[in-house]
Amino acid sequence: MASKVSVKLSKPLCDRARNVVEKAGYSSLEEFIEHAVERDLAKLEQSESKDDLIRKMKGLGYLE
Amino acid sequence: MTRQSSVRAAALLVLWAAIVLWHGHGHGPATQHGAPRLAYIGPGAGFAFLGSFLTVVISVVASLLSFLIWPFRILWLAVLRRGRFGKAQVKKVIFLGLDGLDPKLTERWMDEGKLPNFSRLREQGSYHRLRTTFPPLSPVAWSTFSTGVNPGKHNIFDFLNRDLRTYAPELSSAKVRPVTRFLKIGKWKLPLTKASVELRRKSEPFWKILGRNAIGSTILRVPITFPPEAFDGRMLSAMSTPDLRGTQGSFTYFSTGPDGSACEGGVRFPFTASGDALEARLPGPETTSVVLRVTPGQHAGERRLEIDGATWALRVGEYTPWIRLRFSTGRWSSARGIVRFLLTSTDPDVSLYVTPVEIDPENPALPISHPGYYALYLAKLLGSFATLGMAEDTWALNEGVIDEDAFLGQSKLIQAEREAMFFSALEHTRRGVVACVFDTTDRVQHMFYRYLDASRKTSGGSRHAGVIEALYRDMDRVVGRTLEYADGNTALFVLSDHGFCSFRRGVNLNAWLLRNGYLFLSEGVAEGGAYLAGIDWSRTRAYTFGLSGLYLNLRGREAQGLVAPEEAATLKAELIVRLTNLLDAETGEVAIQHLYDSEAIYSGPYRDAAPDLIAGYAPGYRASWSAAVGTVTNSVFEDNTKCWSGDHCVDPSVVPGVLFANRRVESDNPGIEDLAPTVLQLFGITPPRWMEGKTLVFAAAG
Repeated sequence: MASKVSVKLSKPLCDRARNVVEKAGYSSLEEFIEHAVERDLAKLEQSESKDDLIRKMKGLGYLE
Repeated sequence: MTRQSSVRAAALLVLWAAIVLWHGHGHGPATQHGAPRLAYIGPGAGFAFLGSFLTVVISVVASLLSFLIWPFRILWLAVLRRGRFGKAQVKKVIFLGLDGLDPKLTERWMDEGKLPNFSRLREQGSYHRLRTTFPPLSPVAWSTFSTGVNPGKHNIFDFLNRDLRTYAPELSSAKVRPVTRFLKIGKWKLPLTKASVELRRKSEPFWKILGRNAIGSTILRVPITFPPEAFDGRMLSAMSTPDLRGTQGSFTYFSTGPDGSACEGGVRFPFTASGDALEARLPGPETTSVVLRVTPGQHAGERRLEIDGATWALRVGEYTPWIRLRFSTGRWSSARGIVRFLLTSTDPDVSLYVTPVEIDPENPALPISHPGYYALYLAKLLGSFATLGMAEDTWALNEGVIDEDAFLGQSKLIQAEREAMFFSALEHTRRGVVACVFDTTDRVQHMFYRYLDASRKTSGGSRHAGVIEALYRDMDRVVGRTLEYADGNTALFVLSDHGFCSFRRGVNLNAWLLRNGYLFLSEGVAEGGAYLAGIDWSRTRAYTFGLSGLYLNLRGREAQGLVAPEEAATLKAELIVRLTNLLDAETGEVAIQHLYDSEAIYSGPYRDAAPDLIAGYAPGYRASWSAAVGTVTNSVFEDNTKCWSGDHCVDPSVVPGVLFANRRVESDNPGIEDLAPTVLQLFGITPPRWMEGKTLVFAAAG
């Protein structure tokens, strides 16, 4: 399991985020922040090679 | 990191640097020729001593403190639990999950008196058909069970998702990221980052909320729990746990016979003869392998297997016990795996099947349990066990590497391991939750449903015609044993995530999109390759991969998106009209009952990752094998000729699950999302507002 680290946010930003967490359907503020970071990381990080992705799916019964 | 620990780390770093510099300036020991030597790469003996000393001191102090505060901690937990359990309606909740248990078959065999324990539970408590998810797939439905939310809030929509920049499909449930940065020192390669495993299922499972409220849980093999999350309880991961080669399970097959065709679900190798022995290498992770030798046994159907310094007896048709293997991954590192061998023939050819190399629970290369030692505890207590997400080797049977008896034998061994874990947990749990999902029910139905399908040539007449009925009777036995642990203070739920139906014909929606001008192949490409290869994205408006989703090539979302967001609703409406009631001209049957707009069925922050449309296939149909991996074929329909002959990737209304309870459930139309808030309510905890399931209403006792 991934260990967690603390990151500091400005209080006004944190309060704004907290106000929309439930409305957006997140279970926690932490989940909301993680999703925001993940969305940007997906645009910035290098994609995994297609061959690696396919290898990882090998053997899944539902797929040929 | 706190300021105090930062200061401590900085001090140690300075000390280490000083020692290294001191060595580097010739103060260290010299070689025989007098030049400074660099054979030892490390922080130096002084640091090593200091480090060990500090470790010992810290350990002693921590142990002492832990010992001193132990009575207070126990007292505090007792007070906390008394408070929590004081509000609870039950002391214990048991979830017995039977993946894919079908209501039609269960009802039929209950009515015929073949499932006495299910019937008893129905009479003493209640039975309902359980509404499943869109689509009715195990990773989706069990994630909804765990979290009480729709897929738009937990992010699992299928077995597969896609990389929007490359259109490459990937596993939706977990992501293993390898080490990406290394420091090269001569021939050594030191990792600068750590491999990481990330769970893609979002939201929060009920067991974490219970844990925060001092109510412990034992969660065994509930799908989409790899890697395990930290919480107050114990967990063994399930579906999506890879094998040691990083795949979802790939077998190895050795034979002296012809090479045969290429394998989809594993690898085939020839044996090399060496005198009267046969030799081969069993591949492990990356480029590692171990040598195995097969020598003659005392009788015709016997051989001896030598591997990793041990000798094992092989008999045709009998699995070996789990054999622990060590794969050397570096000078000082290795990975441990477990395998079972099955000698499948000795005449005319010697053939040996090897299960996927699974993660060794006694020394896991990846996290498979919480706490980390829980897998080790189970292995020491009950013996080694299958750790792979989908351990029953359906591909080996599909490809004829093992026969039906061997597949059933393997499934029974796995079922026995899980039963031992489940009943051990029940034996040791006085209060809290025990949840276990058995997936043998799913795998055996996938592979043997053809014997229930009267329209297939394989149905009836075979000695395997009664396999599924025998499977349901066996689950009835498990229910009977479980009932012994369900006293008046226990709520017992027996449930499945979906039902089953036949899979006779596959539908390739990419082929339909090609024929109807929604998808185009690149110039000169006659038929696309797997994983969306060969598609001309500059002209393609829609595509499919996975088991039920259809995606628009949306501008601003997909890397080469074509469809303007303002045109998406019109295009979806058009596809819904054209694909609903899609007719299979060869059989005259409707292949797709409904096409659902995902905007209407999902809500939540992850809805953007969902397919735009969900196909509700009619019974007998499913996404074809080629469509599931995103191939664009020329034919829209194809026969399914594999042993994998039952499925549930159809319209959810066709394959609800089952819900039995040892108390009378009065709710109408219960859904799988209702279980998470119900278990919280039973323990006196108000479900959080983001949970969408409704707590089940029970009849008053007496």
